[in-house]
Amino acid sequence: MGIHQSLFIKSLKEPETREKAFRSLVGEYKERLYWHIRKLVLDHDDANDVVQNTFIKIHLNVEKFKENSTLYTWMYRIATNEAINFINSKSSKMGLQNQEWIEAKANKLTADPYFDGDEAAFFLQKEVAKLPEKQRIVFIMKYFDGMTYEVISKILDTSIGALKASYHHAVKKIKTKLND
Amino acid sequence: MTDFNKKNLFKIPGNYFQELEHSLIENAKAIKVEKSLSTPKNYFNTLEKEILKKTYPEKKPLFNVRRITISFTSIAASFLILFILNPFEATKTMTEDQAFNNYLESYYLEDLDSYEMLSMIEDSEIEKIVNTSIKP
Repeated sequence: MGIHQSLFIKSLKEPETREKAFRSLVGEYKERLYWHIRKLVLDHDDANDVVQNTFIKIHLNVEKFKENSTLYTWMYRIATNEAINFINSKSSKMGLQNQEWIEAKANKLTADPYFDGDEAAFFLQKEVAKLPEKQRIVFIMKYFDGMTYEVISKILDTSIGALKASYHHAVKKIKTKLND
Repeated sequence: MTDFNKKNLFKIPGNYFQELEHSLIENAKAIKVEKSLSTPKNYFNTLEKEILKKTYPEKKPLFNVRRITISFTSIAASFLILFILNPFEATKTMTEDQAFNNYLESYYLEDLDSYEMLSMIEDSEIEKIVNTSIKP
């Protein structure tokens, strides 16, 4: 871990410098975390709720950050967990499985004022929504976010082998649908 | 004339162009998806303000004559109501009501089937419902 990051984390943990450091953290990461969450929950309003909760959680727990991973990885883990918890809570309230809830969201994308995708983008989103949760998350992080297996492995706390298998299955399913 | 290609003093890491191409393609894919999912205008500025408002709420002045006056008046009014209504009973009832509602909403209504729900209703009440619905 670089000296620059260690100093930044120190300033995030110390009460006197915390506010300034947190402001800079929000400025630096708000868009990246938003887009990561948005791809997981699909809807803008939902992503807005989740990204705010994510930053509040980061703010409340930064003192507990152990520094055995990078700050970036730690924040992405919180964002991913918050998105999954959000989906769990919304789907269980509606008596649905997570996958069913996401599929319903994906099917309504063309009616969403904040979706400008063409037919192909809509088709891809619908097919990605049909994937089992873990495969969907790995696919989004690898294919859309362009993350390496090493980074995804640290964020999701999953072995690289398991991630590769998940991604492979996901790509295979989507390719089959595209060829149909 | 010097051949620049043969005398290029600069080096690049091995596989650089393959990795560059890969990262450009990945970025392009990400941009394509981000292009299909959009946000309201100026959203990220508002978002930053919202987050900071929640984590660092504005500090209000410590002494405010008007606020102090209102506070004293409120406290006096509260004492008056306290003697008139005996709120200890009311608070107790409200807390119990709230707890019961939470209990019902969070567990029973989610997990009970119709037979179990019926078993919670008194027999006389069921008869009353049945009689009312049978009448023409």
